[in-house]
Amino acid sequence: MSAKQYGMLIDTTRCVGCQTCVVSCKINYQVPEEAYWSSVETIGSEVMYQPTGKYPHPVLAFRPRLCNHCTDPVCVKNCPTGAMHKDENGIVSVSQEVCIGCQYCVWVCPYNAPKLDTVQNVMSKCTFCQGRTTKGEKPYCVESCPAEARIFGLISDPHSEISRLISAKHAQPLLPHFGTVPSVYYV
Amino acid sequence: MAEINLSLIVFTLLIGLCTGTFIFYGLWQFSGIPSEETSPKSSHRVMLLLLIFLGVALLASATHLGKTFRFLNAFRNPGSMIAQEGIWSIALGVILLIAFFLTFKGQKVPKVLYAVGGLVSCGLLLVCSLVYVRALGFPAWSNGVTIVYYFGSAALLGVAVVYALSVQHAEKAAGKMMASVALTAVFVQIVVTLAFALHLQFGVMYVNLPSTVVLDILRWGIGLLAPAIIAYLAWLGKIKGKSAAWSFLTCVIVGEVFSRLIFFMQGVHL
Ligand code: SF4
Ligand code: SF4
Repeated sequence: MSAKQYGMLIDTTRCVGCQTCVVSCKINYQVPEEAYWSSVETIGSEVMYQPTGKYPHPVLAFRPRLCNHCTDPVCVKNCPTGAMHKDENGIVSVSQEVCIGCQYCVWVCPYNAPKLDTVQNVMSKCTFCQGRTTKGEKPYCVESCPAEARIFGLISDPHSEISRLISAKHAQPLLPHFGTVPSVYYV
Repeated sequence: MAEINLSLIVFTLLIGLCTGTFIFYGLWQFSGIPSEETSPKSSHRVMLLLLIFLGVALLASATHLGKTFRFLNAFRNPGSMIAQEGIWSIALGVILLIAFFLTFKGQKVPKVLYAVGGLVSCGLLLVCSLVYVRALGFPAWSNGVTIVYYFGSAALLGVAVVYALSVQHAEKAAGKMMASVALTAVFVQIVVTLAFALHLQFGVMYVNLPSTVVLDILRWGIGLLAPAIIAYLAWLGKIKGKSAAWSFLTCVIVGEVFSRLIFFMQGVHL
């Protein structure tokens, strides 16, 4: 595990499902064709924007999804080429010049996070906006969210704002039983 | 549903054929049934055939990569099961080459080489199955049953090939015995197929798997029941050895192709 670990807290009670984060990521990184590094799903439904529950208590809630930059990333362990790697900030990214496009990282990732770049035929994925965050800026998805549903920060620092909020709001990661120790938490 | 990837169907089928045949061909040699004159001649052809199977399997595997010509990069992380597949395949290839050259010179393949090759074949089958077991994103595959599924399939394919080879040399002694071995291998594969079906039915959570009823019927009819009937009738002596063995082999190969189609169709990501 890297000493430093960036992470994200997403408040699904604030998310309005506008997908601004999805678009800002897609445009800023010119993510090709069908690939999306960031997405939003409707909680409890496979159909986007379809409410669940029964009248008079319908529920319409959204959950943004992205790579969890796991502390114990199975994608890194199982990548045959070492193209998938975790850096000193805990960010998991792919070296496209090494990747052979076997897509095994997609198979092993319980979150379906890596996406095939169908133009280059190699893997691509969320970088936690490495170029911005290492300069102290926020990731595009955090910066652009009109509902301020996302918070980014150092989860390895117990005194950081994000760490305090994670514990105060009892935030949980997705599918923790897979043991990858995700760094994205949800309320 | 996972993309039905033809390269992976070819790869898994040929690896099953290659490893299964090597293991059961070795066991057949250990049994002492092949006669002195037929053994080296037959072994030479078999080793060539297995080398071709392995070579085509590896080519098929390389073609499924987005960057085929970077395939050597796949050995950079030996802990990865994909790299392990390559390493064990190369080891089996070396053993097959040694056996091929020995038989080319008219020598018999030493039993120790069959034993080592058999172990390497099991190792290759294990790492190939672990590729799927470790695929946490696909609950249908990520289970220990997949290991049994791999071994059961290779055993059935191997027995079917050796059955066809044994009757080729008109070894009467082998006929009845091989029919009973074939029947046992089908029985084992029926149990494995049922175990896999139970896992799909009760062990897979979080995803909706597609229905594969038509393929299941074809798989059971052509790949399991027909070979069972053929082997049984051959064991009773009601079908001639050669036609029984060849129809058994054909049904098994077709059945195993259907089995793989079903397997890959169940590849629904979380
Ligand atoms: S979410 Fe998936 S791709 Fe991202 S770090 Fe975890 S295992 Fe790897
Ligand atoms: S697609 Fe690339 S990054 Fe993913 S496992 Fe294969 S080599 Fe590694």
